[in-house]
Amino acid sequence: MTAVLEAHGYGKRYRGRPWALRGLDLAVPEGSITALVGPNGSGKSTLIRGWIGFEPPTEGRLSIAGIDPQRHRKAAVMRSGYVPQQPALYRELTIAEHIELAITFRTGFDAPLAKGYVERLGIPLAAQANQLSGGEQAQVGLALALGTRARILLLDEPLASLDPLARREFLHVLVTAVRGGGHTALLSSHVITDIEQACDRLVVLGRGRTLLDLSVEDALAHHRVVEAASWEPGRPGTVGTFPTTTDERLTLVRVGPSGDGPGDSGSPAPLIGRAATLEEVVIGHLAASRRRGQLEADEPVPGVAS
Amino acid sequence: MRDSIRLTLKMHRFELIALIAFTAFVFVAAFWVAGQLDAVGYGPCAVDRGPVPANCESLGREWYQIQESQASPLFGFLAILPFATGLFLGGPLISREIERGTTRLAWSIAPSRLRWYLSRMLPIVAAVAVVTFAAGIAADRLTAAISPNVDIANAFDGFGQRGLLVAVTGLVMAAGAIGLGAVTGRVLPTVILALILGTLGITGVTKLHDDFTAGEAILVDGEYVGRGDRYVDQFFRLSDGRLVDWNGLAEFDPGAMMREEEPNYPIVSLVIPGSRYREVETRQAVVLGGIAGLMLAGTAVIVQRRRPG
Repeated sequence: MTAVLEAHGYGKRYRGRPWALRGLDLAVPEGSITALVGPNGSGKSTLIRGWIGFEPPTEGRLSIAGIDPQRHRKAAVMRSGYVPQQPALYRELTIAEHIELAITFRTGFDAPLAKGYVERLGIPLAAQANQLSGGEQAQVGLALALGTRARILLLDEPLASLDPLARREFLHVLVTAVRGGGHTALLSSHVITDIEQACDRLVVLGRGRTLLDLSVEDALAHHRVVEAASWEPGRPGTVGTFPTTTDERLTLVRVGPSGDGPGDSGSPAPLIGRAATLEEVVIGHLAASRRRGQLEADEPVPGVAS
Repeated sequence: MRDSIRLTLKMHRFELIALIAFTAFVFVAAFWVAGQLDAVGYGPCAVDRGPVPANCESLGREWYQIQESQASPLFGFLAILPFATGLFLGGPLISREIERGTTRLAWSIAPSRLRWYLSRMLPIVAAVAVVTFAAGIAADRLTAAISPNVDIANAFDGFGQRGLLVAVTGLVMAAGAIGLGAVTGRVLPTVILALILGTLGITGVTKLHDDFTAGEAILVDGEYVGRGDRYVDQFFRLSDGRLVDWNGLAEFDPGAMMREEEPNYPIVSLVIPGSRYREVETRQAVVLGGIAGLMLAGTAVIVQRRRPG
């Protein structure tokens, strides 16, 4: 497995604020569609912007296709297509003019490819950017990123403001392009159900660190949920407890590949609970991370009287 | 390149159309008012000495009436134009892109931010130059009309408010506003800051240049400065050849200050001859233009380093 996006001890701290990310080690394999999931402020956008050379690291380093994006930003930009969190189109220009602009910016920009994607979605090339819906603007952003013919696509929560149909269309275009063109995509998102359909790998960030880094298949195979009341806290394999919408509390448990025992201890055990959904996997790890954070905050600082 | 220029101008079409329309109006109005002033035929009346035509009083009334009611407001507009053009075209150029987030799109597609910057900056700077140069020509024409019998190509009348210096003032304001926009990344603070700092900067540089130019002034005999010359100072020439001001005269000859009549010492004036107008104008333009160039180059460095917002 070749990693095309790597983080080595990466840390980012904005002036006067706590660390957004710290000590992050991550490797995104070539040809994958990796979902980057985490709560607001977990550093997803910071990490993506770091890979395109927009954010210098405070510590550690990043690499994109083996290139340090801070030292060789041009080369990093040439290797990546980026779709920002909010559609950032020029409201005074038409979609056709955005494509013309991209040609002037970047030698080798594939205008027919970008136009093809836009037209296939029924977005008129003559439309002004400010006449498009949020979904259409996101699609244009994706078409422009694909038009760069970059092998690595960095998508920073492009689904956030889209309705379900627009999300589905967006992901369809993305998956088709990635699978057909041998791209690698990193997609940050909050919408877990969409990730399950489109992504083959899951990275969960929380409290500035990686909480989980597995293939979607393994994430599902290695986790089960049990009723919290019937589960002794602290048992091997316990990840975290979280509430459901029906006032029930569930505990996420990490298990062996066959779902028959706590994965961390490796010892065989009877089949437990039921299979976890991807959303429960993510929520369980985030809940555990939050709990750890609360415990750390409650710990008395040595030498300081309470 | 042509596409890039066209698209940049389209992005700023509102400001461009407004400023070009305003400049066109002021330009046409300035030439029309200048024609009106010329048509009065006041020139023969505006002489320092010698006989004047009999109807000078009525001609003067008409001439001053046009000057006050039409030429003066136009001069006001022409004084504002380089500042307005620089601020409204230069201010939003980068700040609006950062504020709206379009730099994230542009800088993720464009491997070279310098190329992006040049494609944005050059058409706007060229537009500022054209608009403000037109304003400078209009101000030249109007100055010629209100200064009859003066060759304004060799006269300091309206120095700094006409010709090349109007265009350069616009360029300095634009360059400052572009640079501040790259720093702040927000349009309104950029325009406000650029107005304050640009005005102070231009005033300061002009004052320094004026002081430098004053050092090159020459002495001419007499109290009255020749038409087109730039007055710097005035002195009394003492019998021993020394030049003194009123304080110096009081020390040298206290009695002279007590007498009712003017002191009986020849007056000499320190002036910059009008014949040096083009040279002084060009030098100030080069200084201001150099500052504008440095600010634009500094902005290129900021663009290379800053976050896209």
